[in-house]
Amino acid sequence: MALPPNVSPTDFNAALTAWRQSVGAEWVFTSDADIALYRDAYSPFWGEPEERVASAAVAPATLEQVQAVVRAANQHGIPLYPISTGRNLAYGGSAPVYSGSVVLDLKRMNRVLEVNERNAYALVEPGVSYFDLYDHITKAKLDVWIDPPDPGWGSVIGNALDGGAGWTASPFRDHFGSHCGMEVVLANGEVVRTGMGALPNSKSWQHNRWGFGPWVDGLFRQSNFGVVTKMGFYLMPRPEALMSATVTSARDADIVPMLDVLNLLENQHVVNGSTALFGGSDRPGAPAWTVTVPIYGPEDVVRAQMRYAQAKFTAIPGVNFVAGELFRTPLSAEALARVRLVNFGIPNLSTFAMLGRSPANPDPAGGHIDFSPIVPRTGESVLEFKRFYNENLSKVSGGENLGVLGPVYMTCWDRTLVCLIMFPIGRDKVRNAKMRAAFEGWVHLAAERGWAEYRAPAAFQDLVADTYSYNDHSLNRLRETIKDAVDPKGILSAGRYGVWPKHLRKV
Amino acid sequence: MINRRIFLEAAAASALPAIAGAQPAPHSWRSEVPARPAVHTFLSDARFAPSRTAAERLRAANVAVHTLGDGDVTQVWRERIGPAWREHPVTIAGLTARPALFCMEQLALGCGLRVVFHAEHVVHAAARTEHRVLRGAAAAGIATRDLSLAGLLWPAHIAQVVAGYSSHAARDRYGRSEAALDPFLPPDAQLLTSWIIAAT
Repeated sequence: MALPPNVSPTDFNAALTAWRQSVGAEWVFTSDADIALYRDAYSPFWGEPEERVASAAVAPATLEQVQAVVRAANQHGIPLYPISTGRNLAYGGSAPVYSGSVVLDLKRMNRVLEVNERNAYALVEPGVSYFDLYDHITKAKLDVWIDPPDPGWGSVIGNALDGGAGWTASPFRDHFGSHCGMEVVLANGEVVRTGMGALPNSKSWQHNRWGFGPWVDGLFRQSNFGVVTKMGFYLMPRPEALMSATVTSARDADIVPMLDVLNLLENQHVVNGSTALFGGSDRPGAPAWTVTVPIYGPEDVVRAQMRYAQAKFTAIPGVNFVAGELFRTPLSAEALARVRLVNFGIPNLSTFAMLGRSPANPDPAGGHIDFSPIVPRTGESVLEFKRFYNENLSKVSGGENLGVLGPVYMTCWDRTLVCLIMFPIGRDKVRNAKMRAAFEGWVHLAAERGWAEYRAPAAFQDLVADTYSYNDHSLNRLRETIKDAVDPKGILSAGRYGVWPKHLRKV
Repeated sequence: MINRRIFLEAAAASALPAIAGAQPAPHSWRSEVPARPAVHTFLSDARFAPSRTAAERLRAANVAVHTLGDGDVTQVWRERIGPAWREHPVTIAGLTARPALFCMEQLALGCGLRVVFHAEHVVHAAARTEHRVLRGAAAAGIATRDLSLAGLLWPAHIAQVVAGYSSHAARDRYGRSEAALDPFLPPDAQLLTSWIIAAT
């Protein structure tokens, strides 16, 4: 049996005994075979000594059991790493950031506690996946949509806490931004409810997120200050229709007015769907840029908004605008077979089917990690990033073709772009090492331009956190101050997103 | 609420008599086919000829076959396997590309099931196929050498393994398979994987 680092066998056995008493012996995992299940399937250190691995796992089923597990860990100084369903692939999966931590596996806490159709919200536990919530809503015949990411097998809470995004309408695509109210177990075992939930017998926990006094929910996003055991989310009342248009241009420079129009339409809430931006490939005959513009709402309103969008885009000389089919909901079986399901709030796993070998993907590695810098949503920034990528690709890749894919311009959030670069991760340790070096190279080069990531694989969270260095890393010092106050023994998710407890902090 | 241990113990208890009896090695296609196949569903990927061949054999052996059109397991998981696993840890199998196994294994782990047989087949352009049985050879009654010697008939041998697989076969308690990450293959080669997922 592996031991967590700097933990004595006596302390570890005492904690295991306490956990077995509180959650049941069958839910405390210490065998090599069971622990191996928590490896990160897409680890860039797969099979190498630096791969982050767990020492054990414990799976509570209730809030009270979570409290008991955390209290015992605190008493014996055992590092815990909470996961929801553990499917945070490309960003660490279910493996801890601090190798040797005990995984606190919350997937048995899988209750949908409430779905309110009239006010369009849900309250769920961490083990509830998008599939689970979708099934619950479908079986109850409720007229609300969820906003699934791609793929849809992950935890609703886990995805939100890690900063994930989905594919329906704009208020719902920012998964943390669309939450309302949390229940959190602190490192000492105390339970906190945020917002209106702090009121005993609150009637409005999922109706108003702010409550009274300083808002603390943000402290639990990408953090290690507590274990979130319940979370509310706004849901989307089923829109009557979705219509999309495709806007193309022949000239590279047209991206500047195109994104200005797109930003205007989004900021006016005329365009509310998950837009997409393709282009910049310089292929002869291909459009320089393509933007897709989806709009959800009542049919008459959608058509009117689409006409307004068309007028704005076609005012740009040389830009072509083609309105697509209008889909009425609920979709017919025939329509279901030819739409992208996530745009209609339907979770699925089809993204994995694209990962196998195919003419479009002749040398798949299976896994990937993503460099995901936030860039301002302007055409000038897109052109700058494109130049930046082309100028540096060979140098960062050591003169080789590493099969890196990019940049992919993600427009999932208002006002920003995520200029994604994907790195294939396989079983070849030499190639994985080259991928890691290239990843690090992009992080440094991007930071010099004022761009940094919104999210990173566990292996690179320190590196990225270090780029947020304004005023000699004052933001991280503030986070460390909070960490020391709320988790003085540093038992929760050490190192997550670059925040380390005092005893593990680099001087 | 999932109770994984009870779930697994129930499956293990029902396996005891056959473990004592051990599974005989198959000799002919007809004689080894059980009256009621232990495998609940076989996943076939219509894009690959070896998978189609295995599926044809298994249909003839009364195994339920679900064909993946484009490799996406969502529908079969949502409509058939997921509901079945909520009731009982039924055994499933497939001859697919790796992503389908990756998805099914991830989903299986959440239900207390493991990959108990796993073989890889690198199909080269000149119809030559390299095989590796990575796990579960003894319980399945097949080895890498058997597949290599089978030549073009190897999909039929995989079908034989699946059709003859006993839910009572002795199985080690495995960790995660190596389905997550593809090896780097030569151009024009296709990696297929055959697998069985069962309670352990």
